[in-house]
Amino acid sequence: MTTMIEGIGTPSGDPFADYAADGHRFDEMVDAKGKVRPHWTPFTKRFAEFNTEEREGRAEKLRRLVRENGIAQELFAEVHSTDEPWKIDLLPLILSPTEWQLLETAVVQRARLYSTILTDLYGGQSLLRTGQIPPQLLLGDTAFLRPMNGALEGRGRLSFYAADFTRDTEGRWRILDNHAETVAGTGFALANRVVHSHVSSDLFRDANALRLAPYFNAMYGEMLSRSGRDDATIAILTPGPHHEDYFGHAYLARYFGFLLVEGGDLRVVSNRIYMKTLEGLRPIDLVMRCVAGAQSDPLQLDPSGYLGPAGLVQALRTNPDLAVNTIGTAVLENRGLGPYLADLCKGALGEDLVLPDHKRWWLGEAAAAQHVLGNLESMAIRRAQEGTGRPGLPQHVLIPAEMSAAEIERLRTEIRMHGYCYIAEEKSAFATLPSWKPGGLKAQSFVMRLYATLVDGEYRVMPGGIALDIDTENGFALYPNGGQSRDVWVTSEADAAPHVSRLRMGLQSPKITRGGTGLRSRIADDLFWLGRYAERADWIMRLLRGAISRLDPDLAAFQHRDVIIKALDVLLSKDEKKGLVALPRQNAAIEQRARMIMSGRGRRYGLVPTLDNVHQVVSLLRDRLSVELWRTLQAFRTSPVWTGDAEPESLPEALEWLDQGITTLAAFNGMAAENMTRNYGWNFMEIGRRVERAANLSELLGALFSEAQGEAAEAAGLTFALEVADSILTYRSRYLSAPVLPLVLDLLLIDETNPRSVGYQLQAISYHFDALPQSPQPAPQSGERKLILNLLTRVKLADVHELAKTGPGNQSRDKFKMLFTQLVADLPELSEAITRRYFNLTEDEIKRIHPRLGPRP
Amino acid sequence: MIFEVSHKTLYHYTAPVAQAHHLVHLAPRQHERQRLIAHSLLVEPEPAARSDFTDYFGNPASTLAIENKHTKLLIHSRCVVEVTAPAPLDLSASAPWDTVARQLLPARKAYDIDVVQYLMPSHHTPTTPALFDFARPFFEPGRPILECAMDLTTAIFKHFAYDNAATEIATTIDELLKIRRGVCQDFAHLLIASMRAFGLPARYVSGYLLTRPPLGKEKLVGADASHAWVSVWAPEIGWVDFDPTNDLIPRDEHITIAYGRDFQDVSPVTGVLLGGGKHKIDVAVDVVPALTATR
Repeated sequence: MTTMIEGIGTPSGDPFADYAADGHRFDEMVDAKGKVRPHWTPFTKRFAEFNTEEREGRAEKLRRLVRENGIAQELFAEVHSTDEPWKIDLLPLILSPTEWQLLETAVVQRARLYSTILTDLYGGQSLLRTGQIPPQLLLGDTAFLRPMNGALEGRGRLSFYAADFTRDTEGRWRILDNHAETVAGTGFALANRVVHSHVSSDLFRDANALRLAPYFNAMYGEMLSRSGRDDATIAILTPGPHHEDYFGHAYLARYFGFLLVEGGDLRVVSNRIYMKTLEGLRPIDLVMRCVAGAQSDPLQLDPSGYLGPAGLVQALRTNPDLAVNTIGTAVLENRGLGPYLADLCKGALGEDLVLPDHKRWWLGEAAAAQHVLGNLESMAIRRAQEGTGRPGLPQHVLIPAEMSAAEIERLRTEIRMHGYCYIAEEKSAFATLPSWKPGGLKAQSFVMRLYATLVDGEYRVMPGGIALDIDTENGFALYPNGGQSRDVWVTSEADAAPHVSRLRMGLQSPKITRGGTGLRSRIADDLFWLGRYAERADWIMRLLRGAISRLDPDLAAFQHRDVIIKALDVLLSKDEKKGLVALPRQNAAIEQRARMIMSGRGRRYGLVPTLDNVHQVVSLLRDRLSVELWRTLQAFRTSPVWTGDAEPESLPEALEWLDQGITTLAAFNGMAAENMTRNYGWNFMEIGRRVERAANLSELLGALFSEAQGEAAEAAGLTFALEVADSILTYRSRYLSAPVLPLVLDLLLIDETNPRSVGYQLQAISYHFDALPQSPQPAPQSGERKLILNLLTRVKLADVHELAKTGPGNQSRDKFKMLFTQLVADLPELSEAITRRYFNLTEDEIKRIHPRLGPRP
Repeated sequence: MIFEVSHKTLYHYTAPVAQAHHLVHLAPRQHERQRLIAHSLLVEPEPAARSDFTDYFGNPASTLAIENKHTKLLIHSRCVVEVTAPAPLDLSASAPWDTVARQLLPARKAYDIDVVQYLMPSHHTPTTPALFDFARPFFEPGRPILECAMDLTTAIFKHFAYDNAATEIATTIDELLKIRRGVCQDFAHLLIASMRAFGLPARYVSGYLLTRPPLGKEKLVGADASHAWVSVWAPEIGWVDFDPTNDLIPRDEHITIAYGRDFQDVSPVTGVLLGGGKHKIDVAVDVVPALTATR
């Protein structure tokens, strides 16, 4: 009786008491009797003490950190979606020391076994000749890269290996997939830990879980020692920002202080790898390869693959240590190897296989194919080789039980023709772990990825990893879309080792270098546009703020609203102006335009598209910008107003948003000015900002004052311009009068001490130009220099009184018009000249020539 | 027979090439019926780096890296080769194709890798339903494997027109089956794909062919061309060549350069350039029997 009361009397706030694991399946946290396993208790005890607010608060903080750190699978997928692209569960997966020992042994053994297979496959191929691996399996795999044969002799080393584990209902671990091509999401594992420990450091300590830093330190040390230099230049070769793992590549690059490069940045000269910079070629000592091997040399591998430089294979044949992993390792990911692993392990290592792969049939073997074809309804068919990325996506799995008769017939034919390309697996059930959901814990199936790196000739396993939800509803392990990830904690019985920062490494022989660290054209281009877009966003916001604030009913006395309409029209294209509805009331006309500019998409000067552009370039520059700069600009991604998914409800609310936005950009600019190194990158960002500011201001002044207005109307326009150009205080402190055109022109056009004036921008552009390297095409009077000199001279020599004069008998200011027409025309041309010269070298165009056989005589 | 071969490839570029990497398969490989007497490779401008090596398939190959700006590139390969005709062969004495295919099915047993590696479909020789339907009639149960190959050779010659303008490198085998026109490499790929679709090894042979001028006409200099044909494997006999473009079994007038799974493995000259704008290629091949080569 008492026990029952105890059962009912459990505090309803304890989520673990209510956790209902399926008693028939193994669960990570509770045993078959529902009792929390000992290695979970320090965590559950503390967690149960939290009240609901504390738990929800932590979950919310975790979500916020993910957003702020920009952890995303596809950087550009999330621009206009407010759903979270990457989710981290509040609950980690916790492993006991005994369990860990088994997993660690299994991972190390696998890595050693695969390394042996790799060496043999790209060497003497005795495993194929003897049929220990049916040669049809790997010779038919497009990931087997023949040009690498012979290159790995005696040093065929697999540096990075990762395994995806699942557990069956009995609690036995199985390997679902093997990753031998790249670091396979190591960056995500690291980012998950960093973010998760922000909200759970107390729980982490209680669990006495192992830290990741020693593993990454060892990895860093190994990369340095591979490169053979203390001051090595190491680059992470990424397929680019559209690849789903790009976040991870950028994260790792920043963590290690490595360069992040794309194939187009690299050249192979005399069997060495170089990075092309604005100052010329700069040697790279080691490439951490995060691109598909088959795509990494268009000369000798896939002729349509440009993810690496032509000549890379030849360079690696001379020195296989130039890239890790070396090229050709993806062939080890072939799932058809599974059935042969136990014998291979026995034969090659003389050991029993610690943990097997998930039970599979390779359909290249007649008997296996026959069995599978006879039992299709309980099978799933997957490709034996799926390449890197996230395998197991549902679209890559065929489930005959869910297919039509015609589809099954096609599948049978396909298996008969290409059986060697497929594997089959039988329906099964998987273990669960608790997942944090609003309102309680839910039992969830998962896959866990563990990582190993070769350090000093021995494999070392990351004491942690990443676990992902899988969808097992139809009996197969599938990655659902929008699933959850979680941190993996490995508990220890030993005392926690002191925390070692990675930054201390590599400081043993510090070498001072300054300035020009070799800026790639691509990065220069991105920084130039970051400067332009950030400035454009600032300009649009100031203009909108000026316009909307004049709609305030308290300012009803404000007369000259046509000036505001004219100023806003500058930002609208011809078509957009045509699309405007004629409104009798000027207030309504202003509001209509303001809303159009604020929310509109696909417009050059729309605020939302401009912020999208800012986000895009910032994403491309992730590894070059400090975390603070990145986080500052992330503010624009966290509100539906900035992403165009919602409009401000009222004008005062719009003003609030604009104030906030201008402050955010000011913070960004201030931080950039304070923290960015004054190298070429800085020069390009500044040139971009200055070109944009000069062009915008010129355009506004030209539009408002080419025709003279009545005195009051002109004063209203001038005040507005001074305000948008943030120069109203300066003007008032200099002149006590109402604004008049000559004085305003002096301040906004000529005055080189006013950081908002056109003259100041031109002077600054000229200064930054002089700082740039003269290569690649030395030409003393090149187009962009001539342009800037010409503009500077005209502005310096301008006579503000002359400019303000109107023609005899009309209101037209011809000289003014001429100068501003030229400014408005030449500034975009200047931008184009810069692009042509520094970012868009025609000789960087990569082309493949592959003539067909000639005609028959 | 002894031949002198001259193979010139000349590229003209409309814009300077800043850097070029080329991969060439131009030096004839040796085999039991072919002896290489001399070979030279001239490249202008001079490559900054040249590396000669033996590729995965045992062919001599070279990579050339040119680091200086250039608007023209000449690759000139010259060789002297002796070719011997094969002994007469009774195609009907070869093993039944289905027995051969069964022997080569995946299993845990010893394999001859040099045979098995030509068994699997490759980039240019995929097994498609259309290809499968095309090839099926040639594989009656129990038919000797080399007779199947000869029947296919003849059928391709008869039903496919030689047309230099009909196809390009990217033309797929399904398209070829539809348009029924192409060049030697297309026909070679079709024959190879057909054999492989039925589990039989076949390899692509890149080379040259001695051509004879029409009766009473002088042979034009540079009128010869690179050629491609197929080698099919039969147990106890070994590799036997078939030329579907000319409906014959090559004797001593086919000069072998390289073996591969398909064209992509052994294309004579291929390159990756930085810059260069548009380009034009002139190719001139001369195959001259040594006895008459007395100019």
